[in-house]
Amino acid sequence: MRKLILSLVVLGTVATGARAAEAAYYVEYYRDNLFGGLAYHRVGCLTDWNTIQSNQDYDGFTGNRYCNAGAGAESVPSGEWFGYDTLGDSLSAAQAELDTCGGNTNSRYGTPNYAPSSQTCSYNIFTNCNSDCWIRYFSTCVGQRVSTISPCFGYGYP
Amino acid sequence: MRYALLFGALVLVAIAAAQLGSSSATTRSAPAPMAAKPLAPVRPSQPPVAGRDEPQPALDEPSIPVPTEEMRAEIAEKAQGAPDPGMTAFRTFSDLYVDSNLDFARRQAQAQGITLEEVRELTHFGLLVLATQRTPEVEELLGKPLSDEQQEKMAALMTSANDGFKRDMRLLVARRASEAERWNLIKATQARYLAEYYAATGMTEALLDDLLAGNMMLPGAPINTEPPDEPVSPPDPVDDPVAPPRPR
Repeated sequence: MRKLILSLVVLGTVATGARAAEAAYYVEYYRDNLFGGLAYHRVGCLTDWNTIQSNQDYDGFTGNRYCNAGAGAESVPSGEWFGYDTLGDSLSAAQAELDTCGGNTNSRYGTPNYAPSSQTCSYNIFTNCNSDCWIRYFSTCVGQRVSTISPCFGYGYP
Repeated sequence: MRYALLFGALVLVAIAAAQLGSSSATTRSAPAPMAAKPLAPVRPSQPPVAGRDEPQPALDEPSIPVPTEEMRAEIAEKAQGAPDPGMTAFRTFSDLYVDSNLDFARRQAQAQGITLEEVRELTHFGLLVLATQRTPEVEELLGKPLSDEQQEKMAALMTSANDGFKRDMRLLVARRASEAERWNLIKATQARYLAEYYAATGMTEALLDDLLAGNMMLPGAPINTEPPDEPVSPPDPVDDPVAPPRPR
């Protein structure tokens, strides 16, 4: 009988762990390889690992749409997956965190409401005003800085 | 007792399955079939668990070379006397970018089923297209602002050209088209993009050359040192409640 109880306890623990994993939310990062060369646009999407949870593209400097709510997390158009960060088990908290970091990054780069161009700096992939630097700032705000190509001269996260 | 054994076996199966899922999530960075070393991290099939699976930094990314005096001199030498100095300088820089990431470029070529020279050309084209999207500089060269409609057309052009090109190139590679056919697609895409870009914005070949000549990599450009994080200016003067002594 003791073994039966012990088995049930272990089984319950495993099942609880599996449920917790299912409820987690993530920001997943994708890069769109322009024309097959070594130039990329980068974007973050809110997912539960299986499906994209919101239509919000977390990126700047493009009007292109990448994150489509309800679509599979591996179906981002032209998107090559290159990283993720964990956001916890609450969808509203995860969304709020990304929106806060998105707002901070938009302020930093002059891209209000994720605008396709900056109002405060002149776009240049070789320096510090581009989507690479945008996602670098954003991902640092979320927690795990992703790697980028652009040197982002003068980059600094508060 | 029999039930206990049955549940025990179930538990073992569940634990083994969990372990298998965990190990497969952490060992998925196996090489891609086409390349010896993967170009990008492989997405774990199982959702990562906070505290157990830490996000890994990207395997590697090509890096844009920080311009050196030698690099600037090489760019200046090639651009000097060229009929299109801006374009020549820009191409020299994009070639230097590929040259400094040759291993990555080779692996990308292999993964896409194309040659290194095609990746070199497409890198130049991708960077060129990005440069053409620099709205404030385009407006400065045109001497007037772009309308909302023009800006939308310009942005949509980049997206449609990129998506269409990649789709067509994949089809060519899938049906084992010749290298010449692939180059035809590259050249046709470049020509069509520029023609539609000029039509949408009012830019010309000469103005594009001026735009590229304004590249910050060129000699004399204000990028010898890293710019400050924030604009640096002297503090604004404020009224002092105590009147300073007037110099005699």
